[in-house]
Amino acid sequence: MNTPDTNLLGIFVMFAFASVVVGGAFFVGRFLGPRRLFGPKIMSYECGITPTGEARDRLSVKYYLVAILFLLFDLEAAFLLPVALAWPQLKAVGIVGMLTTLFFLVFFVLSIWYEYRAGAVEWEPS
Amino acid sequence: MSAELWSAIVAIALGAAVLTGVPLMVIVERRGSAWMQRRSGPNRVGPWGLMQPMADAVKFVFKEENVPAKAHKVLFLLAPALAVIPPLISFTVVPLAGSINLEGIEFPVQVANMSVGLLFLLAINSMHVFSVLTAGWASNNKFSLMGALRASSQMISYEIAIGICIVALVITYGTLDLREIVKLQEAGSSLPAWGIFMQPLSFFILWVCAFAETNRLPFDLPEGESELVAGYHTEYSGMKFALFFMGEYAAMFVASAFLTTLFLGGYNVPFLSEETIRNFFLAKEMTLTMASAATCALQVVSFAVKVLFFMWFYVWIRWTLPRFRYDQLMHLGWKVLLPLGVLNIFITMIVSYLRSV
Repeated sequence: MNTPDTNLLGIFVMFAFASVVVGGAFFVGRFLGPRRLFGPKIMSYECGITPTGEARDRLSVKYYLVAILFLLFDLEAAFLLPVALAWPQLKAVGIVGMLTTLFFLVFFVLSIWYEYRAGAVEWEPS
Repeated sequence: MSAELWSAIVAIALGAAVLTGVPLMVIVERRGSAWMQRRSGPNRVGPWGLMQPMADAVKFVFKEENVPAKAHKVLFLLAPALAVIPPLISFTVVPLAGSINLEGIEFPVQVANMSVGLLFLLAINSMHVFSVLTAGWASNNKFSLMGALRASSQMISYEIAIGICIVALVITYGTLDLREIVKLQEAGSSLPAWGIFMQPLSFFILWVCAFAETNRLPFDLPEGESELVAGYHTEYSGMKFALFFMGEYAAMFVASAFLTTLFLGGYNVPFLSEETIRNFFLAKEMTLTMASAATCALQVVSFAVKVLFFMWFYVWIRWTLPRFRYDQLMHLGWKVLLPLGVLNIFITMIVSYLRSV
């Protein structure tokens, strides 16, 4: 059977299509709607009162911690993917191949355990 | 017909179908919600209120677009674009039906048949976070920024659980090619050989993650109306708000298509393989092109029904479960779903080993 198998042109066509839709929406919105912007209308929305202080204030460090943890764990997941793809070969190698995988997974579990012990994902109850 | 032209045609058709599905889903959600809450819902525009999304679209177009004075002008424009484009692109690797035989060549009904389709879908789909974060930062508004931070930390937390589940799935299927994965689920005599029967635990985890990734109830913390006005799109109005809306529904469609492809046999009609259906049509004295087209039509319907089931479930869950508290959400992501995912890898590896000896 003659099957064209990898054809990535469609992705670019889809990108162009989506861009046209977005661009069209911007265009239509810009030129069909009224445009009378002044004073209080373009103030930041704070439920009607005059905004106080800056929006870009100090934030909870928890968000930063979540970002760091995401990097680490997503990297580990990315490392596990080739292992998963090579699983048939690892099985063919026998007990050594599977122990190697197990070694990696045990480290993964240990890191999760450490993360819990360190209280990294504890969000204090309100 | 060249493969390039075919790919382009399917891309346009798919994009149009998804963008048509959005208003359709909006009316289904609004009427469905009304039905669950014993009220009428929108029922004035057109028969049974079916034209309501059209009226909404007209209203969106003619609304004034407000850009706050303090906002970052370029990023403020970029955010809604980033909300719509990635979900549409990640849909390109999802197989929609078998293949159509045109002039002796089998054309797969799919925009791009990639050998790393699963990874591509995940990678492009996770770009949704950029849209949320950009919108929150560019608005320069306290509610927007808080909503954006909550949303992005929620999305990346649940992304880890997704990544871990994918590992177990790849061990089961042995490939990242989505078309191949669907074909592996084709066989089966008593029960269909669907992923849901082979990987029930990862189906459960990925399903929960689909709600968290699309910021839908019960995980809609970023837009908790009682706390944050509207979350990251507080400052958006008119067509820009409509684009966020479209992006959210497109992302829901992608998540549903993703679950369908991996766990519910994708485009497969239960108990009937592609060959069986095609032979049935061939026996009715159809040409090969006609028979394959009819087969694909049937499979597209099957795919759409499964996707719509998941879409309906979004609405159903919305009026069933109350919103989570933020620490409960983080607890579920990091302390329940992630360990369950790792446990699932261990189980998958042991089962796969036991089946080979």
